[in-house]
Amino acid sequence: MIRRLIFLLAGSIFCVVALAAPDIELGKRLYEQGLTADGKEVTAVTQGDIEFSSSQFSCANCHRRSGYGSSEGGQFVPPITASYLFNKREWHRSYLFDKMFKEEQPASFWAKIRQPRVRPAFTRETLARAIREGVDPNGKPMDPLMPRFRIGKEDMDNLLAYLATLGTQVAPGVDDKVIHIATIVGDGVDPGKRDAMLATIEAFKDWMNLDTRGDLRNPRFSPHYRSDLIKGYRLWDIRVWRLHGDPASWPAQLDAYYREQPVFAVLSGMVQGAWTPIQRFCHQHEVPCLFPITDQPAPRPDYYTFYLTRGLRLEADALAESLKEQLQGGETIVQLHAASGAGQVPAQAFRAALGDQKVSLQDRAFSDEDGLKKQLEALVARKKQPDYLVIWPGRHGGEVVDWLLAHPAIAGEIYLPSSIAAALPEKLPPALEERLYVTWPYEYPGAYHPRAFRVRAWLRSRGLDIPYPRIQFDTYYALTILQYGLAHIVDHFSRDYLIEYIEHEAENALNPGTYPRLSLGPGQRFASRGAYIMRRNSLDRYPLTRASEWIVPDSGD
Amino acid sequence: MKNIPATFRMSPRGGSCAIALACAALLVAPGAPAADDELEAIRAQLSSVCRHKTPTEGRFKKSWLHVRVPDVTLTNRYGKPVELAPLIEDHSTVVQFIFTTCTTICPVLTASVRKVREQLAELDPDLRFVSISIDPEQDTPRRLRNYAKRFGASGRWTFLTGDRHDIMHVLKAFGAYYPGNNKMYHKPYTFLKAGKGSRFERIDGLMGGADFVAEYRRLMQPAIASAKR
Ligand code: HEC
Repeated sequence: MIRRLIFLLAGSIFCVVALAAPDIELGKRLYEQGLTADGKEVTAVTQGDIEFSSSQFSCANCHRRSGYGSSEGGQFVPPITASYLFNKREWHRSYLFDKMFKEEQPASFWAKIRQPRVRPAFTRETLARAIREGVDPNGKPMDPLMPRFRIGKEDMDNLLAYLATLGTQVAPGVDDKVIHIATIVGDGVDPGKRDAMLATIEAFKDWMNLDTRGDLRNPRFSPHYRSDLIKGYRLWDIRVWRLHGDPASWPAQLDAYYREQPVFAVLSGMVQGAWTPIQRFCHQHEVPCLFPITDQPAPRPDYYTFYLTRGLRLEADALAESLKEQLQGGETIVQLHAASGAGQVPAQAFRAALGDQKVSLQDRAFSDEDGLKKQLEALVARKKQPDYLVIWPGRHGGEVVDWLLAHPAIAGEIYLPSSIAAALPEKLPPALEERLYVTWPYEYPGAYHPRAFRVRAWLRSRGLDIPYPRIQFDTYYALTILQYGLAHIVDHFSRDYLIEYIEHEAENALNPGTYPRLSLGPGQRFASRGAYIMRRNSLDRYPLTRASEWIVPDSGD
Repeated sequence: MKNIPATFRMSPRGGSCAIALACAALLVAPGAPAADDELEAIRAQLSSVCRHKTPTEGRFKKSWLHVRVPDVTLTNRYGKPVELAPLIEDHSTVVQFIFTTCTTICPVLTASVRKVREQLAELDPDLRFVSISIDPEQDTPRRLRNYAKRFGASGRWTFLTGDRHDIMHVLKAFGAYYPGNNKMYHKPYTFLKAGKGSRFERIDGLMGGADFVAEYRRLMQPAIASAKR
């Protein structure tokens, strides 16, 4: 009996101690996922009578991970970072500025934002009351959209402790004059492509900084409220982080660069092989990584890295999707692929995406030129040609093309990835032209995009050659998204806020015409989802023409 | 009901409920004391005519529109083709446009349907609920299935995705196309229709459950229903 009592007593002391020290990490989990300390879902009521639980939505849904709020379809969700909550509410003009001008807003939105109710700073008590009862510090009921949450004491303490930290961290990579940005290039990438990308970045940076310097010299000169926004202006410093050797050593190299000068974001970039180690680096240091030029994104995207497409996986999935429509059963498909990632990855994706079609799918891997030659000779020696030949040549595109030119009728239909299109000569033997197809996760040549003209004109006006339009246009896209994103966050240098902006605005008019459409949304990380199957047509104005509709395969994630 | 003056029976809802209740009590009190159940009946009658302001009242705008549903075939959350026009034209319907990664307004729109679904189905057994994704390249049937599950969807509640161009046609037919060509700017619309025909009531704004049900009840009134075609 006494032992039981002591046990109880000890237990309650333990509880008191636990209550006394709120757990910020658990508060964060409650904010982002709506889970209580003991892992249960929080429940709440919105709009007066709509019950929901946190598997449906949580604080971060509306106020976003950054705490800077959002506006969607005319519904304005205010920022609730510590500095907003624990100060009297007075809107910064710069904050209002972009909320008002970025989006067409209904009259109710304007009314709300123009005459914000003045409210005193929150205290712990008024904050808990706002979250539980939807009553603001003036005692007035809040907008019914703000849910009334059922949250117990311990969880509320954790949540309040987290809210007190929200938005208070100063992200590394930015000081009061300069914002540091990195781009990453690896050994062994095509020097022409690399230099075209770097020249575009360099020219953009110079152009931005010229403008910024001018504005900083004239801080009171104020067309379009500039003087309000000026506190967000920073000169861009862009460093080129060069990676050498084995990808296994990249993390250490990246860490060393980052230690030397932390960056606010990583922009564009190009390496040979998979982007995975860089994605991991960005995740570890919580650095937004914007639109690298890669056909091998990490197999699973994470929060910090945005890609243009799923690369070779997308090409393989789109090809499988299109073949499935024409396969009758009993066909032979030979898949010839490099043993490297650029061969292995799409070959596996293709096999998986083809699923249980009743065909004979034969994989043939090669690891070097000799191996390729042997496989190709074996193909020629076959008694019966395969119906389909799918090739993922990795770095051996040139050899594959030469060989196809010599043996054009090697299979019923021949499929190559987009990376090889540039290696095809202007004139193809008719026997090859009629059976050759290319997967193409880009806009088709000749499609009309008004912004493409602007981008081209800009590049020209900076005196740049345009040897690799797609790479340069894609780089320009990453640059302009960053430019707009930084303008939007003004001086709230939160990386999460930048990411939320990109999720929100990627679908706007910045598409430089390299893809039919670029679009994201909360949690989305691939801006373009589809591909065409193209064929060569020497009679057409454009040597590559569409042989399919835009195919959007189910990515399976 | 005999003791309730006619003025009360017709009384519009409004802020004078408290006074009305007090008067009713007075009216009932003199003479023979009313039986408890009689009082109860009066209270019920009164509270139905003068209900309290709902939390979302006045927070949404209403308008009428005729929709010519485009002749498109979309895909439901099980990957099956669904012809849109017959689904919508021949039945009472509630239509919303959503996407599964939307953070603020779609979850609330969807949760509002879940809230009223059973109640409305009882009022109008013909009623169907249709949630159409405006992000079809992202929202595969599998993702729609997960979303529907998250919101406990069941019964006659169809979630649709499909070809992007088809969906853009549908959005335009409903006057729901968003500015800036950016789905993040879509509006919180709910379209309601009681019975066959093409005339919808468009609600612009987020409704609580009480208002949702009240709006639909109003649509079912014979006078409004007969004007709908
Ligand atoms: C469905 C969207 C939504 C969710 C989910 C949500 N909020 Fe809100 N919140 C709002 C809206 C809208 C307002 C503005 C209320 C007003 O203007 O009266 C708001 C206001 C607030 C305010 C007052 C801000 C101020 O400056 O006065 C606080 C604090 C707040 N929310 C905290 C939270 C917390 C903590 C959570 C999670 C437990 C949460 N909210 C979840 C929509 C939401």
